[in-house]
Amino acid sequence: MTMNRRDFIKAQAVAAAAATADISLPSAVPAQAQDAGVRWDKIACRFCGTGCSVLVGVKDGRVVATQGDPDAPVNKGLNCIKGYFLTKIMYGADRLTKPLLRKKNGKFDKNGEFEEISWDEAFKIMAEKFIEARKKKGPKGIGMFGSGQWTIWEGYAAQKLMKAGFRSNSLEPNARHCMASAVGAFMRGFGIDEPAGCYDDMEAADTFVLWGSNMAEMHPILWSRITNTRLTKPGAQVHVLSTFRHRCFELADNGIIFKPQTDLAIANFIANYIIQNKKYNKEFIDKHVNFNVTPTDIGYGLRADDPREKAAKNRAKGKLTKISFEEYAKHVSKYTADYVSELSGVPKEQLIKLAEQYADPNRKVASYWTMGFNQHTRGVWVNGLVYNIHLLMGKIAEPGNSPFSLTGQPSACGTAREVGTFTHRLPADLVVKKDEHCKFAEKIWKLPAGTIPRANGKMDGKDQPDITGKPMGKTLIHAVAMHRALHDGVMNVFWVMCNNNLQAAANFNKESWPGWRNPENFIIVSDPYPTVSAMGADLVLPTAMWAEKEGAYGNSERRTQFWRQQVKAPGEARSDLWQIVEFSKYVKTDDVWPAELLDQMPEYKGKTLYDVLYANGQVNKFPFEGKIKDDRGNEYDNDESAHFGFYIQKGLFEEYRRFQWEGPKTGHQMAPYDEYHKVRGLRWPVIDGKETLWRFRAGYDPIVKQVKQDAKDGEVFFYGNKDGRANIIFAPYEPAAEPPDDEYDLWLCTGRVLEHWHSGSMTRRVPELYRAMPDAKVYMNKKDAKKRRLRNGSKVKVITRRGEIVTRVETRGRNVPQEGLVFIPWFDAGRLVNKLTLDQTDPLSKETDYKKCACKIVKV
Amino acid sequence: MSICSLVVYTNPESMEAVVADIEKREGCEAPAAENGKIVVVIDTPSRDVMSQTIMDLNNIPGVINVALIYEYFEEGGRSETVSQEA
Repeated sequence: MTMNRRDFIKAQAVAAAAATADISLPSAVPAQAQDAGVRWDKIACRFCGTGCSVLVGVKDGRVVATQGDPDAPVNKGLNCIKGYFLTKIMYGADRLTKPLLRKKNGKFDKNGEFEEISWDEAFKIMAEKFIEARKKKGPKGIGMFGSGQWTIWEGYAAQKLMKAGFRSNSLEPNARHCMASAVGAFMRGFGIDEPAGCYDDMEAADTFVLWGSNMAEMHPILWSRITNTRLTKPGAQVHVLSTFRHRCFELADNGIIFKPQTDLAIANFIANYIIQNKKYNKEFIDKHVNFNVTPTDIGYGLRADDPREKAAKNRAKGKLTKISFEEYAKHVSKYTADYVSELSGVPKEQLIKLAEQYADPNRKVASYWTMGFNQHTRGVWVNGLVYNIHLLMGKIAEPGNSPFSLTGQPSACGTAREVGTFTHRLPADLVVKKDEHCKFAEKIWKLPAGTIPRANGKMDGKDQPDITGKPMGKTLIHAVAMHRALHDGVMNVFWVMCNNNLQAAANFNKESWPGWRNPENFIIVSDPYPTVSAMGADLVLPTAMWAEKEGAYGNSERRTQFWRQQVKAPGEARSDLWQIVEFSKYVKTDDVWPAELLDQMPEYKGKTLYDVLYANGQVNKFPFEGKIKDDRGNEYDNDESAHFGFYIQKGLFEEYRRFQWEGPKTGHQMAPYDEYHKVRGLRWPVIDGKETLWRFRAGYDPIVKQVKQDAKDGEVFFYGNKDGRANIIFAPYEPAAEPPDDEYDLWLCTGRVLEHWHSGSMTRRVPELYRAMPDAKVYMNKKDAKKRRLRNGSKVKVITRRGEIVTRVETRGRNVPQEGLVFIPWFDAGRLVNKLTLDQTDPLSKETDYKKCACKIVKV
Repeated sequence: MSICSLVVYTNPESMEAVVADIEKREGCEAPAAENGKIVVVIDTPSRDVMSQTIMDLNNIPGVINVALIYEYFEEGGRSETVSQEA
């Protein structure tokens, strides 16, 4: 049979949609129809942390077709709206294709104009600046700011370069602004990072509670799974909590609008309700839980001279004190329905309706949260308060009962957290604060003991020697502190990769911008596009993105997914992996290591960091045959492996895997490299080739019986903690750092919209998305607008203590704030909302709170 | 040539009204619908019209979610014949 090509494609499109929605069609289209000349392969989506798999059709070196991957367990054939534009992100008109350096009269000049240079010239000046700053200023003199969008091996290669090569812990991911509070709470509660449950809970739960997550716009595919359950499962309920009304409220059985910061009180109310009504699971808490209290009045992560920091009694303190169940019950007893209703502005009936869902032992409850919880000056606390509720009821680590932190980036989990590209971390949950963890890493990496800087700069109690000639000293520096260090001239070289930190970081006017343009500093930005960050830099490196390289991401549910290089990058754009590894050839051990260290391994004298870190007999041990082949006979490029002469991604991953299988912390095991190219991802721990859906429960998680031989199927053991128990941690409600007052009389909350992903570096390059949502407006309650004599569309100035921006009022949009609060999305490079925000952080997790500062609005 | 298919999720009681609304739009067909799920195919020469249509579908009253399934785009809108086995 022959048919018109258009009809053929249309029929395929309809058949795919019907199959995905489980709808039978009147006239079935023959399956397995092949379209000649199009090579199809799977690839993980470039955007959020959901981790959808997309089928990409390539013809003549360009992507011509995409389809939601029907074989992917995550998205089951669906794509979200951003998925429609996914492949267009590579084809923006202003792609960078040559390295650019600010120059005057042929030489680098911070105030010069960008001129095209070669990669060789770029790496030479970078090496000069890095070495100079490292020698002069010590480990904090240089910094690298990476990403939860880095592939796994890019994060791993960067970690080796900074922590081992340059001997500096000044490595942070943008995930610090995104996930650090979630990590902090996992470590405090469970002693191991990432959720116990998985997305299968979205079909298994009876009640879904969204705490500070606009899943409908930010994780649309997960939202469609929950929607499906809500519409098809009798009795299913959806509860949504937010400080403004958004799209998720369309489906909500209980839509709760609360005053900012009072989520702390609401969570404690639920715990109190459970205890007062004697609904807690006594057997579970007796066997599996310890009760604790955390220090209070801990400040807001501002600069030390801020009055709020001086007034804090326990600034940044987080050491837990064990308490009894009775003491815990007494702590939460203050959070009665009357008190919390008054404080939060939520009617009592709504609070009780929510609490009943958790308290009913016969209902399975899944709780979800994203930035509403994590970007919070009490982020670690509030994450923990929801664990408290689930642990009181024993509603955890089984299908449907699932407290679940969602991620905003495609590999915040896979790269930033699992590889550990934070200042304090090493792969597989190891930390630089522990001597034995560093020694283990040095052994795997074939480096002299003491190469990696310890948090306190001491190995075996003795000062670590440094190239400066002085002791190493304290080495940890988190993301917000990096910008402060640039501002103060303490850090002089800063390499930003795979993110748009100048646009993303809080307090642009007073911290980030002066830091970047400080004449003492040299700023490097690797990006595919001329973003705000790239234009604020001194050296810009053009970057190959996503389908232009072989990659791997890890999503929110511990699923690791691989893809092959699909197309070539334009011009001289090169991947982050290539940039990191090629740059390492320009620095010698002698440039950055002291003699004491080199004397331990004299064979490393005079060697480049490339020789020591990547050509170490491990990373370079897998040959590259010139092409990557799949099991269907298709061929793919791998530009990095072709350049370096070995299968570099595989070498890095296999070395990284040794941390999981041989390291001191169990429970992170992944499968061999080649396996991931065959499957739609696997959720770690992967033991005997099998993935793990629910952790900490024997029968689901094979690690439990490894660490507790007598465990029976169904038995819970939180093996991240030595005694196998999880921590319930009481933390109170405490006010926000900058609540509104008479002058700055509104709360300002920032966030995202459906059309744009984060700072818009990619989505603003897609003309359709740009037109659909060109500018960031200020979403405002009609009553607040009326009080200020404003209308929908009025031009206004939004002013805080730190800066102002001009925009237009939106009172009829999809987001409807409560009275007293306004919302502005942060995607708009033309209206930098971070000129307004305060660089406040959770003092424990060091994650910025972008959701709460005070502003005023005046008509222009 | 620019063709895509979607599944539109609605409240079951709004489904018929949403189908009617969708079919009025340029290049849109709704060949199947069941239990609050509507299969939609959009065929327009212009990606602009298509993307605007997709964004607009989100805003039809009763629509809870819009999921994209498949898309094909080729410059020039050539029409070719392909063979397939029945």
